[in-house]
Amino acid sequence: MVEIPVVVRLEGNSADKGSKILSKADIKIESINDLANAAKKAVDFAK
Amino acid sequence: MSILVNKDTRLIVQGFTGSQGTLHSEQSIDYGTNIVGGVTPGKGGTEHLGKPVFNSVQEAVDKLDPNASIIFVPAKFCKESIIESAEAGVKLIVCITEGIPTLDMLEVKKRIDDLGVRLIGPNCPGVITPGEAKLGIMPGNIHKPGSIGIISRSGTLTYEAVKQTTDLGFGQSSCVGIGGDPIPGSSFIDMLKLFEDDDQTEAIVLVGEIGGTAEEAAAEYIKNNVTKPVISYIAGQTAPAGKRMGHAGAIIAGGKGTAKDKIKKLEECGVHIADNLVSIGSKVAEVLDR
Repeated sequence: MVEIPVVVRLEGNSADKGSKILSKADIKIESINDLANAAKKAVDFAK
Repeated sequence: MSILVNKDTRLIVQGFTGSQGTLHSEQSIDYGTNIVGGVTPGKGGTEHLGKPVFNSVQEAVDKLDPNASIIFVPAKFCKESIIESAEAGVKLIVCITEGIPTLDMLEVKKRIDDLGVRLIGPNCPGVITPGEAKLGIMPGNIHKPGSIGIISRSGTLTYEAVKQTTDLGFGQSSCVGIGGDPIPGSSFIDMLKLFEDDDQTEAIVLVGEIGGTAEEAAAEYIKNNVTKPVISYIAGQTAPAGKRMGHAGAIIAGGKGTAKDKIKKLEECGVHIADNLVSIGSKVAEVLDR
């Protein structure tokens, strides 16, 4: 089980399908569309 | 116009019936690519995805008259597959496979150059002309027909440049992943020549990375031969020396091949640098003043 927060930025082949699977998963996942914001968010979590 | 592939591309798939070959052939057919058939030794005479399968490239060439081939076979068989295709008379070969031994590529490169065959890859996402033909594993939906030519050593970084230029409304003439191996079939310079001569291409995005001297050679070529604006992003700006960064060819060795040196050389040669992965599109907009 992953305890630390995970930031996901999904784009590309089967991205919609992937998003749906992740949204149902029992993990702390933050889904962010924009790559720069996703990087910032990951850094925020690490602080 | 566009480069390398278009509506007239008649494609055969080597490794057609394998899992990768099947998955990406399905997606390419959905995109509108004219796949005329495929090759899997031992499965000749059968049908796959509604297309004929042959035992050898020569048989497929005799029956289907293809003008391009894409290769999805495992690395250890790629040397034979590429040379088989080249000797059968296919003039454009795209090899997706990663992990081909460098010594194999040395032999392949010599042979295809002697035969006048264009090889894209290996270890690459392939080539796409948006709205016309997709020869590769890239997500078709992020592309849009347009005016930017994209050349890259990296697959996923190509997609970033594609998505950003699509979102800003420019679209792409064609996009070519030349691959991340030390010996690629085609170089940045080969593709720069084609984009320079292509009427549809208004500006060129060149995505490079650490390792080797391909970016430096491209910079020199651009200075002397390319009139269109070139925008470049170089990956690996914080990469430690001596560590291979994901691609066989992406390594700073003996202090050579750093992103800093490449960026400096490109800038000296008049190339516009996007200093951040997320600002490739906005740099294109800035350079084209739109």
